[in-house]
Amino acid sequence: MYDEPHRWLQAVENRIQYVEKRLRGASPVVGLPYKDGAVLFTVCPHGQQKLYEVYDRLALGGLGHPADVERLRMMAINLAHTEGFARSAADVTLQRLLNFAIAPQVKTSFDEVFRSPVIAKFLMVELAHAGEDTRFFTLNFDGNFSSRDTFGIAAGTHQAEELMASRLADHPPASDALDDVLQAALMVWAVGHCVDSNSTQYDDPPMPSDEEVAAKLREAAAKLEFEAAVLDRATASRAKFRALEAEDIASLHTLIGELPGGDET
Amino acid sequence: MDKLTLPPSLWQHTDFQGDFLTLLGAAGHGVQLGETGDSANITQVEATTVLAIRYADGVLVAGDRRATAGNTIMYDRADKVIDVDDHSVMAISGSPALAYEMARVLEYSFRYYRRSQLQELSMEGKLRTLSRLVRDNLGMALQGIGVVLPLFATYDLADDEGRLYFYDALGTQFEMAEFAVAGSGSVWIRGALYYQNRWQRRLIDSDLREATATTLRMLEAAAHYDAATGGVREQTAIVPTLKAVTRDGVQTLEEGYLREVYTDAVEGSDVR
Repeated sequence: MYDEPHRWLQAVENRIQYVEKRLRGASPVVGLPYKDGAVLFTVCPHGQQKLYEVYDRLALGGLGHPADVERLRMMAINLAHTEGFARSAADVTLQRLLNFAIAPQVKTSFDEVFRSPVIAKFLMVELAHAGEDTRFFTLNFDGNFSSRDTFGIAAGTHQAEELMASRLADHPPASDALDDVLQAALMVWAVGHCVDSNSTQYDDPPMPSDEEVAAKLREAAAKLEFEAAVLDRATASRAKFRALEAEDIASLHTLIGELPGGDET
Repeated sequence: MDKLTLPPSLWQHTDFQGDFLTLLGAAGHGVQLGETGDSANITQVEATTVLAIRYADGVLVAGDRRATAGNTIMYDRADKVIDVDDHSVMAISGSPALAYEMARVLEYSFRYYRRSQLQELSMEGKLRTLSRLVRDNLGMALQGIGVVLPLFATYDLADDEGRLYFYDALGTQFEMAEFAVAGSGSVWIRGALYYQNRWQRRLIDSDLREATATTLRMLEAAAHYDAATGGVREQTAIVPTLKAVTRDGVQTLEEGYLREVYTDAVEGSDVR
């Protein structure tokens, strides 16, 4: 059936559409640098988790099908630990893990058109040593990955990712303090969430208005749970990952309370 | 840049239930603790006196810095007290080659469990892991190639108290209420610690400074009788390793502090 090239291309095209459809509406993950390292932020239903510790200086946020997220998460952890044990913690870098192991495997899964594809996207972060830039990698469901040192965004659609990046460029964090960075991350998340939950305008979605963003945030604050974690260079422990507690992210609820239109709802 | 070695099993079989040793085996990096064979005619390096005492805030674990092979001093800056996680340390006596490997496996096991299973390994789980490693090493121990007898100190956050264990070569773990000693110099100080705890002052009532003074005195006593123990060596600027395991985590006592306590409570209390 797939022996003719155009049929195979069609199959791949169908696969992309299928995965994108499944990923639409997934809660985005935002990564930003702050004073002591890097912050990862997302929102998820009560009792669920999307942000994970991978290794001493590595963390990831995954969106998509939980079984696929879990499979790739375990792969990253297994690789990082065997490599760190056999060589050294300093040899465990995201560039190597992605380049030589994870990305090729995801690509292979994607190419096997008779098998279920990986329905997941990842934002991975590697805490730099002092004086270097922290790197954020995004890994797509087809095995493509890219990195930035200023921020990282993974959302269900690329349209949402673009608008989130644009929101961040227009409204960067007020300072590099944790609270300010978290608040910026929350607003960027909300833009992505608005875009991907808009069921009418898929192809060229507009930047959501402040009122829409505020309404979505109030809805999310009532129904869902904020999840944030840091890779904290200041901690004495070799493992730099720390999931933030409710009191660490309390300022986000204050911020939502002060957004326009709050009194009417 | 080396290529990462990734057997297909790591992708297909992702469920190791948080067991790092099984993962290592699957990845082709098996640890050679359980090897048996003819005893090689080699002079092995050994590390000596380690001790740990339970004091008011937790457990103070100490080790001298000397490693010997037969009558020869091989190394005078060995660290025999190793951080295993944020609230646990392992002190090693016996073959350093195997002991360091054991400590490394232990450290990775705890972290791997936490990251893969999304919860901290229980204290009993941690103790069992070390027990298994010591028992797996029995073949080496029986041949006289490398026996490792670790002390393990951890802070039990649930019960809010420090805990201290020692292991025999078969991997049996014994919890110690007051103190534990291991290594060739330990025979000389075991009685001294018993004496102090019974008739002088209970070790558990000591604050950090008193516990540090006791520990430094014991190391000096061990070094006095045991040639393989380094003790505190003022002339060569080599001080022992001391780590306090408390509610706040593992703290390595600084050299300046140790020198101050030594001058004041070890040399300064000399009655001769």
